[in-house]
Amino acid sequence: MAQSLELLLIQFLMPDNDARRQAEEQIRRLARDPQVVPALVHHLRTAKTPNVRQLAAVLLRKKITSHWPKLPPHAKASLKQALIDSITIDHRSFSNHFSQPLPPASSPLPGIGNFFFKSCWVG
Amino acid sequence: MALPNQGTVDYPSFKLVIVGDGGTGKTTFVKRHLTGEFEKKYEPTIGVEVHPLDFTTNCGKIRFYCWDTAGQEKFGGLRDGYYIHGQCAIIMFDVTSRLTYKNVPTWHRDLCRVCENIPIVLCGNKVDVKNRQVKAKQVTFHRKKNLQYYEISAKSNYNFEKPFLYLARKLAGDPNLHFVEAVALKPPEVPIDLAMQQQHEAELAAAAAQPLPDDDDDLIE
Repeated sequence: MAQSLELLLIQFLMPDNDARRQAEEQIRRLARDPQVVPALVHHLRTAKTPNVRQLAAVLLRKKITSHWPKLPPHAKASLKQALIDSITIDHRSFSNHFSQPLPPASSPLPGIGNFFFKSCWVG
Repeated sequence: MALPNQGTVDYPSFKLVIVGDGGTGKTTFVKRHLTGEFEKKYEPTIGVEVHPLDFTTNCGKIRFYCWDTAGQEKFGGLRDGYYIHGQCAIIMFDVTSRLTYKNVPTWHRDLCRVCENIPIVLCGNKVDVKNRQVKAKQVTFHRKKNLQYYEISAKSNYNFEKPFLYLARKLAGDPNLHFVEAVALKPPEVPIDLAMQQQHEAELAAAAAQPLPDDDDDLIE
């Protein structure tokens, strides 16, 4: 999923209507699989262009809550750590989409949000 | 990496994001320029539709890629995903519908979460209609957020160019930039009562000289 998803994210940002619609349809299909969560975290952290990282953050915010219960415990732990690392590495892509508003308790984000607020107070 | 049909041009181009409630006239406004169409039948935009609009300025040609987004939530697609790398924006409301003005702050918040520090124009559309529900002097959101505000009417072509000219000047960093060719538009569908509209603009100017009201005063008549 990783390589094709990044290409789709790039294509989604193009002004060509047909290409963007095709990319959007495929992204939507891939997004039904909980594995889209680690894939988006990967692109959030590694995509070369800021726009793709930001798009990964936008989509992740939409998908992480609904998919989180379906992920195995070890995946949750490593994803939490990856998200925390992302805050300190790339605030712009991450902070606007996860710092507010805080999502329901069933998602991992309250912990992330608390960490973010702490880093605000300290930083 | 290269993708087919990107349609790039060799003059400056900018991504312009257009947001606002469904039915406020976003698509109609954009299509005045593109093809001269005016759709009498309302068809909600699904997701987003990108329309390239070219203007000729005294500094050369420029293009706005207009990302005309869905205003109705059920057709929103990936919603704020469409805002990424927006370089300027228009927030549209309908002066005949109070609710569409009340929702402007939400559109502004969602837009600014993704696009930081971009020039934004607030447009009050349908000013050709006599029975306005949002009076010119009641429009204050732009002053609180440092946006430009224009009263427009897609049907009568009133003020069509002004949002694009404002944004072009901001993006070029040139307050004296101007359009040198008339923009080709479909002939007006209805005449606008210019004397009445000038009165509305005068009321707007007079209101701008007054202190900002408290937020909850916005729509009290």
